[in-house]
Amino acid sequence: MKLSRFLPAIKALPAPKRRLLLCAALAVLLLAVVAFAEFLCPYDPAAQIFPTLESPSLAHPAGTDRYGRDLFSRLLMGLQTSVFSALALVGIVVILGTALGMLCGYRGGRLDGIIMRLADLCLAFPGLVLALAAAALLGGGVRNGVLALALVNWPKYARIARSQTLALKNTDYVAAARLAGDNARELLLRHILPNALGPILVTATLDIGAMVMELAALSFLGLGAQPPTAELGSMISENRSMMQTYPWVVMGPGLAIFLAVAVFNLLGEAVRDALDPGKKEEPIRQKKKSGKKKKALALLLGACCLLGIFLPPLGEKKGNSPAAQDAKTTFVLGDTTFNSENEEPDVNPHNAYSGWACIRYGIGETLFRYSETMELEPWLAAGWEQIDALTWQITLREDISFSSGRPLTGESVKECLEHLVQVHPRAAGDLMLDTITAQGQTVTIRTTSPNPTLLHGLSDPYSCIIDMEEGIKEGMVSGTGPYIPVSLVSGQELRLMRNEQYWNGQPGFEKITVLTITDGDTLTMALQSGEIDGAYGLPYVSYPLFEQGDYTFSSCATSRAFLLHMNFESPVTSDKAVRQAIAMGIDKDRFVQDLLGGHGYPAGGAFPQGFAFSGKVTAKEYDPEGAKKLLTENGWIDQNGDGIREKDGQPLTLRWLTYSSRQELPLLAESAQASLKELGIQVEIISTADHNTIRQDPTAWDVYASAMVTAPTGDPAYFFATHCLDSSVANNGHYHNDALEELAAQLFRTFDDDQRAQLSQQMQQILLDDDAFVFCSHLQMSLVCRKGITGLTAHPCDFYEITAALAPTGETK
Amino acid sequence: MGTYALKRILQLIPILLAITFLSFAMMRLAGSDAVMQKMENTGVTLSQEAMDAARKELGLDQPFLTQYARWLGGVLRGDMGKSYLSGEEVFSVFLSKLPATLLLAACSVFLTICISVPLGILGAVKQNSFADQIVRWLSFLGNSLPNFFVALLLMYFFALRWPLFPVISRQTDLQSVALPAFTLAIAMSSKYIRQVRAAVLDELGKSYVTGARARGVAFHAILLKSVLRCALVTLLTLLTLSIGSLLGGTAVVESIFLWDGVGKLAADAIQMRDYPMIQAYVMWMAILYVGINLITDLCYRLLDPRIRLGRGAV
Repeated sequence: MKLSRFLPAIKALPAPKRRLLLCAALAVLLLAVVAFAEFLCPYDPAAQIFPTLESPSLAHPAGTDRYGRDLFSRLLMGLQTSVFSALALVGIVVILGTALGMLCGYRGGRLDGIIMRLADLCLAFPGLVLALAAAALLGGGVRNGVLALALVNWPKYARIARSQTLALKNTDYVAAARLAGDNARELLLRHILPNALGPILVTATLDIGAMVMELAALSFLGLGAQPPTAELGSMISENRSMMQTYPWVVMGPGLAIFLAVAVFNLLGEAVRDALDPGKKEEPIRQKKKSGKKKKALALLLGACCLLGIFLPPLGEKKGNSPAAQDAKTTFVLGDTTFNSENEEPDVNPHNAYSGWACIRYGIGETLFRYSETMELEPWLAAGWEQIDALTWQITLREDISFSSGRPLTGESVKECLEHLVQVHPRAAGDLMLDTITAQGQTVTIRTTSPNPTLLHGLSDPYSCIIDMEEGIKEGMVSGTGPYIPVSLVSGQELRLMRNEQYWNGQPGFEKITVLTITDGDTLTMALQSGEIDGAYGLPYVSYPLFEQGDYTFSSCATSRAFLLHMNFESPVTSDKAVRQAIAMGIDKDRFVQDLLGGHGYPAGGAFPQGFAFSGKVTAKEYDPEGAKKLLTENGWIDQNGDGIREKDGQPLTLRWLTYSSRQELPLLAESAQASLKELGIQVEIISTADHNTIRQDPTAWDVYASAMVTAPTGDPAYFFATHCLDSSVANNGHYHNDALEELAAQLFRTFDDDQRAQLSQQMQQILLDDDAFVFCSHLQMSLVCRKGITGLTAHPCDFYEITAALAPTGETK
Repeated sequence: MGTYALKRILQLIPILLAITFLSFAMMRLAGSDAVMQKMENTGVTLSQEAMDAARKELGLDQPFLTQYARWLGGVLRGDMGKSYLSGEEVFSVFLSKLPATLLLAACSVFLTICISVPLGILGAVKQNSFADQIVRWLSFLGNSLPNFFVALLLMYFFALRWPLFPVISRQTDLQSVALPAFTLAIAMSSKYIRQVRAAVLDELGKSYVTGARARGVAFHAILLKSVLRCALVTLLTLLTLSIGSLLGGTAVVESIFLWDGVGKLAADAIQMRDYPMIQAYVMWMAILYVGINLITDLCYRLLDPRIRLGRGAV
């Protein structure tokens, strides 16, 4: 009723004002939704209680995400984060920019010069880089993202305010006010500011939408909002791999951003049209003809275009893709890790810390290799004998030569290993070589002290035997493997050709190209489009795309483990009951099944089952009720009813330190956060690239979740030596156990493999009984290749990838 | 004009000093370093001695100011340092990746001009017509979608569902540059279409147009000879203003499309804390930015006689 009274008044307004009113109403509506998002959420946005990845339905208008959370609620909360932080950002830059700009314009002189040069500086600095750097500096988080962007965006306002002030400073009315005795502050605030504000406000409203997008871009790059804060940009970023399989988890946040930006853009334009005194009415050249109908028609056409996007794909893909064309002769492998970021700048095994590429891509081979149960077997060696504690004699095969043509002899092995220990400190430390003597096909190695893991060292990728006479040319070497490097562009591509003289069967392809594709989604799409034939390092969520007919999978467990380190100096985790409750409260099966899509292995101990030395250990079962009981018995009780237990005034809050460069770790953190909350344990996630520094400060964290390779050399000693002992570098939680120290000393002296395995089992059990570590899962390494190719087989040690067995189907020998 | 250009170039020096110092300081304060980042990627645990040795080799054990002074000394001798990751000369790496980024930027600017000038003029000439409405809605749409989302959509639809373009970009052919360039061009064009439309409308309303029409000059002649020229000045201003965001914006788009240019180089370097590489990027980008601004200012002088003759300020 009341509204109808206003209608004629509204109709009487000029068109721009009417539009402004409408847009303002929209914006107010959006702000209201955002402000009351908590009350509008149909469910708790953080509760992981629904079936995962449900498509949109009446109960869940936007579907559910992979944690089993209601996406609609998360979109609302995400919208809140985005809109509020954009408003805060615009507020900051407008106030800062205007204040500085007015000051500059009014005072002039040196101050003006300095501030405006500063503005130039911020403008000349590539915006996103400054933001990236600032966010890296300040750590992620919405607030820091806002600060970083503020730094880049204030100069615009400073410039507007300055020019306005300059123009207004000399007007008559300001002069009059000055004559009337107003001081500088009054002049600026009461006379200049109100008149300068128009253009600033117009720019500011137009900027809100842009700021929503920039903040989202920052989060998209992983530098803005941190989990579990719902933020639209990070939601797209986290879920982008699911675009094909579960489109709603990407489209939902995308549309929400669009909505927010669109509303503010409309408002901004309306404000500009209605208020900007500098802008004249748009000259109308032609008479408007039935504008409404046309508008509607245009909208309809636009909608049709959008719908067209969802039409089925055009034609058959893979038809003319380069990989498919010469499928029979060339194999193209996409790999995520072949670059210097992963210590693999080239295929020289003596270079960089890892140097896996040489063995991985079938260029070099080692004297010994690991079987599928990670036991050592001879490879280039025919046999070996241990003469005494320090001396080993290795006999080489007779029939092998390097791709350079030189035959493999004791002398060539000696040259290679001597060069290795000279340039590679890690190899020198592992091998402890004293002297090497070569005689014919026999190599005798003396070590400086008894070295039970010498043969493991000789099986590490760095021990690839390469021809040192041929030397290392542009990162390429001559080995004994099935393929020979032809050209190499570090971090981009490696081209290989078949070694016709290969000693161990005919390699299946004439040529192989290895492409470095660091982005998991690009890798996925490249495999789908047929641009590559095989892929290493696909994201978990892409696996369903390849599970039907056209592709073959090869998977196995590796020793890359996702584990929790407990801090024994923290007031909470120093309590054994708390550690035990955490161990019982983490649902490893759910983590692996739901979040890794079944592509992982729940872990018991440090080493995956199937490794010869993993042993049988007993870890705590998932038992939330038992964990609750245990906490209650030990005095951790929720007294104030906030859902979090306390003891002696100390709330049971865990600072969960982790990082996001391994895709599994944020998933683990969020999953644990939800399941531990059930037990009355609050988890605060600190996810930062700076975790390696932070973990050295035992007062800064309680639980540290990391990913590490527990047995890189196929031997158990490494893990204990680096993580569990008083002398360990990575024992940042200061865990100590006398019995463990004792057993470790024994392990380092023991040569017999069975005894080593037994010791390793006892030691793991001690760790589990003390709840010093919780081993959550082991990585499942998967190699996927398209149908028609055999022999791309995943190996538990992760460094045998391209072998002679890789061949087009039907041509294997 | 020569002294003007010289003055502008001299102004660059303090800006460069401040920028490089700022970025140097920020990255050092950001915590973590190249040694740790590499350790994290490989998943193995280095001994303290090995880490110390690696740091010493890179000079990371020195105090902050010493590091900066060393770096600056190197730059003055023409040596920008070596990458902590690959050990290559950062300057030559930067130079080798620059063409790809410039190609991408040039293509997107070209596309932007090709899209926004005709559509802007169309919108102005056929004001409020059906075509105008569509153009306005499209530009509104393009203006409200974040570029990383556009990138994902384009990649999904045009590389996968309709495989018109390759997923893996190789900067040598035009097919690969299409999607990233379009991503950048969509956002820019959406802005510029409106500006061009407004500028042309404004111009068409001026009396010289009416005068020319009255004298019987053909409409398309006025449009091409007078109006288009003024529209170009508008566009040029806009393009300059957005060069900064274009150069920065390529980082996101390059990362998504794996376009092997300096933007991706910078994003990776920041993540890996490859300080010399970041420094080189920041410094050269600032030089480029100031350089392009200078060139644009000089262009103004050519295009607009009022500025050349010293009347009216930019």
